[in-house]
Amino acid sequence: MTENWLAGQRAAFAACRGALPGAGTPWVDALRAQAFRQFEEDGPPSPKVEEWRSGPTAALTRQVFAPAVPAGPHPAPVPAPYLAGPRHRLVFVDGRYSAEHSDPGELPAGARLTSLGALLAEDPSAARELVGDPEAFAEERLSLVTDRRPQALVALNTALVSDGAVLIVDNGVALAHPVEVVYLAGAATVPSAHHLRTLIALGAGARASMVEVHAGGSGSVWTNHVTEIALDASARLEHVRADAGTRSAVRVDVAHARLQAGTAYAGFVMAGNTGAVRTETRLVLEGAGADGEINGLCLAGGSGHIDALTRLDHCAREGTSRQLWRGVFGDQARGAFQGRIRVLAGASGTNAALDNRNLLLGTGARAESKPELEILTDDVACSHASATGQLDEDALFYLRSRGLSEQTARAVLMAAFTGSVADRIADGDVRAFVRHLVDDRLNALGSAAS
Amino acid sequence: MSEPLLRIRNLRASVDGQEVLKGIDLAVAAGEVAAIMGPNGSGKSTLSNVLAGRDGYEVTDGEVRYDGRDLLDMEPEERAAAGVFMAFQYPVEIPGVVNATFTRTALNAQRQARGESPIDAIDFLKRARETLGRLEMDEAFLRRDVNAGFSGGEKKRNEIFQMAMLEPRLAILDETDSGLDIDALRIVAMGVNAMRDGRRALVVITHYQRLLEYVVPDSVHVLADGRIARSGDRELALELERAGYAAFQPA
Repeated sequence: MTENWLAGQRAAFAACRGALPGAGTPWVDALRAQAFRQFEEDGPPSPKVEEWRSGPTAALTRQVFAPAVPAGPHPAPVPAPYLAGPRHRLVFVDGRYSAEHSDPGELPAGARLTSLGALLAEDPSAARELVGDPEAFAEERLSLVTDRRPQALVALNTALVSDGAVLIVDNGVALAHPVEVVYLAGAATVPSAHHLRTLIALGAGARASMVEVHAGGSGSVWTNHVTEIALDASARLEHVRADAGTRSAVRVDVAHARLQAGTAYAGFVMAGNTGAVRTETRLVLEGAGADGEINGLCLAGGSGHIDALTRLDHCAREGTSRQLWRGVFGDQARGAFQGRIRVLAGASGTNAALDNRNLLLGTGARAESKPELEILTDDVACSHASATGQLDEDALFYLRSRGLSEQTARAVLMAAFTGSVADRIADGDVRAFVRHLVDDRLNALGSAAS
Repeated sequence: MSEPLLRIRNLRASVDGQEVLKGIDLAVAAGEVAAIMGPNGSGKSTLSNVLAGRDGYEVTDGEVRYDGRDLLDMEPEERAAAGVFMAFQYPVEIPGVVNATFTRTALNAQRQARGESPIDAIDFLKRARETLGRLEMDEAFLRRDVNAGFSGGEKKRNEIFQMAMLEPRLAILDETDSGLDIDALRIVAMGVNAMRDGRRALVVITHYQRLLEYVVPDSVHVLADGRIARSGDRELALELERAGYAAFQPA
C-alpha cells in the first residue's frame, strides 16, 4: 500500500513538475527536487510517528491523490464573498489563482497581495527573498530545536505546490481591511490533490488580518495546505483558517509562524470538513515579549475525523501564549487534540495557557485530548486544562422547562460551549463570518444528533 | 363547581424502583395559593420533579390534570407553553448563555407554541427592566450568564424574575425559600405575591413556615411518607411551626 502510494506520488511529480509555477527557474527546480527527495525519505505519514498518532493516515493513503487538473471537469460554483464589509479577495479554483473571481482591490502603498504563481513568474528574486534559505523552505523550520522530522507532507507540498496567496507588508504599513482568500475545490471524481502554499510576511510594526477559507471538494479530494508566516518586530496578524462546508476526503492544514520581538499572532481555526481534517499550528516565539494565540473549534459529525495539533515554542523571555480549543463531535465522529507548549532555556517570564474541552453528542463519538508541557526554565507560568463530556442533562431539562424545544435547548448549549472561542476574534466582520459558519455547522450536528 | 386548574389523583411514582409518592390527591383552583409542607424525605422534591417532567421518575399510577389536559403526557416544553412554571430548588448554571437572551428565547418559544407573535428585543428589554426594578434587582442580571457564579439568593431571585417575565398560569415553587436571607426572602415573596391576581395558581413547596409569613396561603397540605397526610388553612402551617413534623413522621 505504502509503496503504491509513494509510486503514485513519484509518477505525479514526474508528470507535472515541468508545468508547475517557477519551473525553469533553477533555484525553484532545485528546491522542488530536494523537497521530493526529502518526502521520499520521510515516507507517508504513519501513526508510528508520535505527532501523527491520531492523524487521518488511513484516509490519506487509501487513495493515490494526484495533483488536480486546473479547473477540473466538475467545477464548484464560486461562493459570494464571505466577509460582509470591504475586503481584499483572492480566489483559487482547483489549486490555481482565478483572476476572474478575485477582487484584490486597492492596497495601501507598501503592501503586496498576489499569488505564488504570479510572484514566481514575475518576480522570482522577491520570491526567493521571501523564502530566505530555499534549502530550508518550511519543512526545515517547523520547529526550532528537535523532532522536526518527519514532515513528509510539507516536503511534498514544497515539491508539488501549484499556487497560493502571498501577502507581503512593509514596515509600519497597516491594512485597513481584511484579506479573504478562498481555496475552492471542485467535485472531483478521480483522486485529486491540491498542494497550496500561503506566504505571509509582515514587516516591523505592520498589521494585517487574513482569512483563509476552504470550500467545495468531494470524497476524492485531498487538500494539502501549508501557510508560512513571518512576523517582524511588533507586527500584528489576525489569521483565521476555516472550512466553509468543505467536503474533501482529507484536508491537511499546517500553519507555521515565526514571531519576532513584541509581535502578536492571533490565530483561529474552524475545522468542519465532512471528511477528515488534520490541522497543525506551530508558533515559534523567537523574540522577547511575543504574544501567540491559537484558538480553535473542531466540529465533526457523521464519520468525520478531526485531528488538531498545536505546538508553541517559547524561545525568548516574557512571551505569552493562549490556546482555547473546543470540539463538538456527533454520530461516529472522532476528534483528537494534541497541544504542546515548550518553554526553552532562557525563556523566563513566559506565561502560557492551554484549555481544550470536547463535547460528545452521541455514544458513538469519541474524543481524546493530550496537552503536554515541556518546561526547561524557571520562572514561568503555564497552565493546561482538558475535559471531555456530554451535554449537561440538568441544563437541557432546565432550558426545556422554560419552553425551549429539545433541539433548541441542545443548540443553545452547543452555542454556549463554542461561543467563547469565536468571540475572541477581533475583527467584527471576520467574527460575524466565523459565527455564521459555526452556527451552520452546529445546526447540522444538532439536527443529526437529536 | 368548576374543575380546579390542577388536579392530582392517586399519584404514585418511583425513583430507582423505590416508591416515593404513594397516592397523592390534591386539587388547586385558579387563583389559589397552596402550600405543600413536609419533612425531609416526604416526597416534596419528587412531586415537583414529576410535575415539571424530569426524566428518571416513573409514574406507576394515578393522573395529573392541568387545565383539563393530561399533564404527565406533555413534554417539559409543552408544559411551559401551557403556562406551567417551575422555580427550581437548585437552578442550573449555564455559562455562555446570557440571561437576557435566554429569557427572551424562552418567552418567544412559549409565545410561538401558543401561536403568538414574538416579542422584539426592545419591548423585551423594556419589560425586563421594569420587572427587575419591581423586584429590586440590578439590571446587570440581564447581561450575566444564566446563574453562572450567582450566589444562592441570586439564583432564586433569577427564578422569580423568569417567572415574572413568563407570566405562568401555574407556578410551582420548589423550596424557593431555602437558603435565603431575610432581604432575599422578602423580594421572593414580593415576586410571588405580584403573581396573585385571582386567576393564577401557585403551589409553594417548603419545609418551613417562614415564606408563608409573607405569602399567605389559601390552603396548606402536609406531605408525609408520599401522601397528603393532612390539609387545612394557614393555621395548619402555624401549628407545624410550633409542633414540628413529629406527628407525621413514621414511628
